[in-house]
Amino acid sequence: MRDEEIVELYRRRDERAIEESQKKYGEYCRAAARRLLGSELDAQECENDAYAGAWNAIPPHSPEALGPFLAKIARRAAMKKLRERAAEKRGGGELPAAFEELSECLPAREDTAAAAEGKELTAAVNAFLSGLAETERRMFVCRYWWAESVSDIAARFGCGESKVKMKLARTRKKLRARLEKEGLL
Amino acid sequence: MNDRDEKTFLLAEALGEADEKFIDEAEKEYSPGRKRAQIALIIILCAALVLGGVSSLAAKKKAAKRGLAPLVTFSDLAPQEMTLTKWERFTDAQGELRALHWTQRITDETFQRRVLQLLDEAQIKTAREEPRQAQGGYVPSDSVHLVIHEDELTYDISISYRDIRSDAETLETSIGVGMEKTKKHKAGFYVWQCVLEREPFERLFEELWEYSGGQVTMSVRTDLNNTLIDERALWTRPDGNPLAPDTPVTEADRGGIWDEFRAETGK
Repeated sequence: MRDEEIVELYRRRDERAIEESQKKYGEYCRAAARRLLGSELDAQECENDAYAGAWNAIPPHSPEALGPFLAKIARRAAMKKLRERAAEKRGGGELPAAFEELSECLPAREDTAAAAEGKELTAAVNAFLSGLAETERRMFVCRYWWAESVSDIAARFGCGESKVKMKLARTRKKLRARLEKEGLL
Repeated sequence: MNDRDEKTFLLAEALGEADEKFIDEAEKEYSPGRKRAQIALIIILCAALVLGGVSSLAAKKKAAKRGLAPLVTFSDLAPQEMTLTKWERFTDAQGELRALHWTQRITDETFQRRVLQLLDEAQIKTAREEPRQAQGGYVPSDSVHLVIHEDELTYDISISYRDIRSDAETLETSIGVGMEKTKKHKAGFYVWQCVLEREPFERLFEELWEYSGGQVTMSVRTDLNNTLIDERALWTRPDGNPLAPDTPVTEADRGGIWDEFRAETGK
């Protein structure tokens, strides 16, 4: 079923919307969560959260791309679980390593300004991403959105791991500079 | 959770709200054919920096008198046709000159053919040269680095002079990400090559293109223990300083570099 048709089912409050979403994007959503959480069970919970979220959001929202829209909700749910885990000093999946790398984007000093508003930060990140060259952006999103391993990214892009690491490092450096310039972190 | 963890979470969550088109785009099957990377930057790097040996350009001139004249000279390359974009001296801890490295951008098509002809000749001639460790001194044009921008009909070349009396055997392992050791030069040093697609440098490349003095390059230096000394800025002004995208290279910049070069070489 095409995305538009599934979205239409959501609009009509037809429960087949969830069934069709699951058929088409179930694994996609689970993958987004599984890589962060390292747990199939937790990933399934996040997948369900995605359908529930979509059910609540559509209408009035009308996603342009249903898959990424659902995956975003699943990832959001996964992040929430991660926060809970972090609070308990537990973690799993690929994310700890990804987070460690991402933390390089943060200024080293402890007295940084208070956390920026989420929306502002998101806008800055989106602007940053849109300014990147395609390959650079894709690698970055694969690593830090999808939490793919460096080796998987290298395989996907048909290059060596060292090249991926180099590109990621440069992109992180740029992001850090951008966030610092905008006073967001 | 400490402050840093909290900020990392904030950043990860902000990234999580990235535009859906980026999320969708990222996981699509990658196809090299999709890349607009007809422009390949082939960067050949000299990694062998030098033990002892020649300390100044005067030595190079002496070497030239001994028949070690540069295979491709600035006068051959008609400098007025080119934009000198990079001019670096590599010196050792004592401040002794160890290598020179410069890069030009050439845009005139007729001139390009001449350059290619010269480079071709140089490479052939270089290939015939015998190792000269025993003689010391600079081996001219021992690495000619040619960057071909296929769809823009422009070429960058860089020519390095360096002391060859390095212990090549100590340069065994990979020195940096993305770098591959292509060959052990028979004259006793290694050449490193890095092939970079136009992406992800495309944006900056295009910006730099407006500043004809801008140069996209990567330079990696190692010491003889194969320890990375530095990785130069990708974007450099003729004076070697990083080139910010919004910083135009002025005529004065170029003129100054040429004056410096002429003063040093007498050309």
